[in-house]
Amino acid sequence: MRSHKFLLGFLTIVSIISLSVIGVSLYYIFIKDKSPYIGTWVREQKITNMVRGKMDAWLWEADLKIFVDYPTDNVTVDMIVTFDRSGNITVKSDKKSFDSASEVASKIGEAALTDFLTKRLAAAGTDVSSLNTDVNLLLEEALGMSVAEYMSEYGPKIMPDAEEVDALFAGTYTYREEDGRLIITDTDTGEEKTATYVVDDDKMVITTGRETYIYSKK
Amino acid sequence: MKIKTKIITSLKYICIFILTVCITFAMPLTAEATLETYPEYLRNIPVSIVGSSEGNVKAVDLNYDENTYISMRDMAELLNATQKAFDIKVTYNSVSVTSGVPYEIKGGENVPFASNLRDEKDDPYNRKKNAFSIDEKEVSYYTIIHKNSEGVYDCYITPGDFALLLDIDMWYNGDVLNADPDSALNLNLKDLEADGYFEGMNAVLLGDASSGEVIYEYNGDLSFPLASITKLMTYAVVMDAVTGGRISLDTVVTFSENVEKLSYSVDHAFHMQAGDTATLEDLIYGSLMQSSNECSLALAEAVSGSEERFVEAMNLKAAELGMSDGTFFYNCNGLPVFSGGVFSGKKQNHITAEDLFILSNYLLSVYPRITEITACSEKYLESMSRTVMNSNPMLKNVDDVVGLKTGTTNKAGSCLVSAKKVSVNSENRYIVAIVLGAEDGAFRNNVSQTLLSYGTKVLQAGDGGLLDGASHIDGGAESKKIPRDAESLARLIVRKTIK
Repeated sequence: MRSHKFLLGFLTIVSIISLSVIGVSLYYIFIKDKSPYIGTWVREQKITNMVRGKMDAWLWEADLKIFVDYPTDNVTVDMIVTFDRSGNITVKSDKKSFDSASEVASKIGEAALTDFLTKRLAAAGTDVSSLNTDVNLLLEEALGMSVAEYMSEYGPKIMPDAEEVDALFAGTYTYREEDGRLIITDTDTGEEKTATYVVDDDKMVITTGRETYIYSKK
Repeated sequence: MKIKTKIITSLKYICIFILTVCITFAMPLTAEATLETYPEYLRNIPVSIVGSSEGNVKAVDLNYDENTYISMRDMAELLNATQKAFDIKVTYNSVSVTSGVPYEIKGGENVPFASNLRDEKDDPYNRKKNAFSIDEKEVSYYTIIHKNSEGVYDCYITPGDFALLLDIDMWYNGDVLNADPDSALNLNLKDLEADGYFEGMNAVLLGDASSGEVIYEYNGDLSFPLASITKLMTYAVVMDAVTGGRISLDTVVTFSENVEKLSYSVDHAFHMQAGDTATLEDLIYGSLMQSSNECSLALAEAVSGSEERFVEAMNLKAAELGMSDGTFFYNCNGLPVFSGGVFSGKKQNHITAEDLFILSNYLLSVYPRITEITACSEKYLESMSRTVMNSNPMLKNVDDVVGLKTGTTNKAGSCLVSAKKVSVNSENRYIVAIVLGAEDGAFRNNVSQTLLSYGTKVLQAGDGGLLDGASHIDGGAESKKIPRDAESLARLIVRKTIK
């Protein structure tokens, strides 16, 4: 009898403590205010220069170095940025965004090749407009394919892949908050930057002074 | 003692006699052994004239088997009653053919050679570029002139040249040489290639300059020396400078010491003194017609200040025109260039037949006035007080040939690029025939004329269509090669526009 009571009392105390711990945990996770930047965000990363650079490298292997006029379109991919509670940031490209970026890159490549061939013809003394045709038709006649088809099948690979983008723009960082600012440290280089942040609904803007990153909630 | 002396003397005389007899009889044996080592080069070929007669014509295999030259008198006699009847007059150094008239029998026609071997006392059968005319028009063929058994001068010519001369279809059927006087020469380049006709050349190309289409090519993309054909590129760069306003055709050019020195070298056309002058236009005529290396150098220096800078412009022009890496220039005239030093090497300008076709098309379309120069047989250059002559044999042999340039060095062989105007449905089009590296002028001329004949018939067959039995050789090969680099792609597109 006495042993039953003792057991009952013991179990009660353990239950109370457990429930308290669970309650406090739940409070901290779900109820207590967390930092607004915690979570997963998406930002655009321009890779236009990577695309143009690859096209230039292919064109400049020609004997005559021709500066082509590129269209103004930008090629962008999504970077996924995750802030966790432990003070870590990871940045990585979103492979799903590469498809649409690739289409834009293709258009840039076709325009560059067309401009290159037009300028080469001019260098040889032939004005395309005087031929009553255009580069596309000349290529059709010569190879049975358009500029777009040639670039797609036989042209240089100018759209960077995820690995190439991550090599330049992905990374891991640590952060801590001081006086309402984020101190972000690159874990590879140790470089430290101070950034301000503003979070408004599903948008976040982080400014490091020279660079401004706009994030959307994922 | 006396008897002994007499015996010895007698023995001496007997020995001398025996020795003399031996030598006398041994010589013919030796000679006969020597004769047996001569190849049989006189033979009699059975000939069948379609729809007419049959017979034998005398033939000379010049130095080698199948390097055959046939008797024109024998052929004239066999063709007498046909559409291709012709008369021929032959002197010790000239041949004159009149087509469409009966042949006047002189004696010895179709009398076979009595023996395969040339009589030791006979004159040799030497091949030369004897004076030759047909219907009073001077032509250029390599022939053998030799008296026949009746002492009448006869002319021997290759069957191929004979067929081209009279535009008569000829072919071998086994050992029998056939000729069809009712049929024009019917060439099939595919068959000729299979028979090894082009193997003696470095490269050959026949193209329609008006469309840019290659009709036939043999080793067309391989790089070979081009000798004086270089001067076509020299002309292109000079004319670019003229049209660009940097210099004019009337510019008076002063010859440098370099020009004088070259004009006194072994490869000169004429002497030019430093300080003397000539107009740019006259120098162009001298360069293209007489293939004057010194005129080319004077042009280069006038345009660019130095030959080195001019050659840079030539190589840049080659790149601009979409030419391949197989085309490069060291100088403006095509002479061999020695590298200098203790171990001095010899270099020469190179080109591919395909690239030469590009250059020819470019000149014909962008600077068509070139044909006024290259089609000219003779021209008096006022500023140089001299007359220049054109060395292109096709101007004589083929109607409507408008150029373009010969070229010969030991390494390059005998080269020629010819352009011919062909009238197709009231439209004037051009065909270009390129021969690089023939062993000698005779081969070069024969192949060039064969290509021009074939090309003319191809164009006149309509819409660039091909004769029966023929087909495009390597035609369309361009379309099967997809260039993977920017330079090759650019060159392909540029080539497409050169018409």
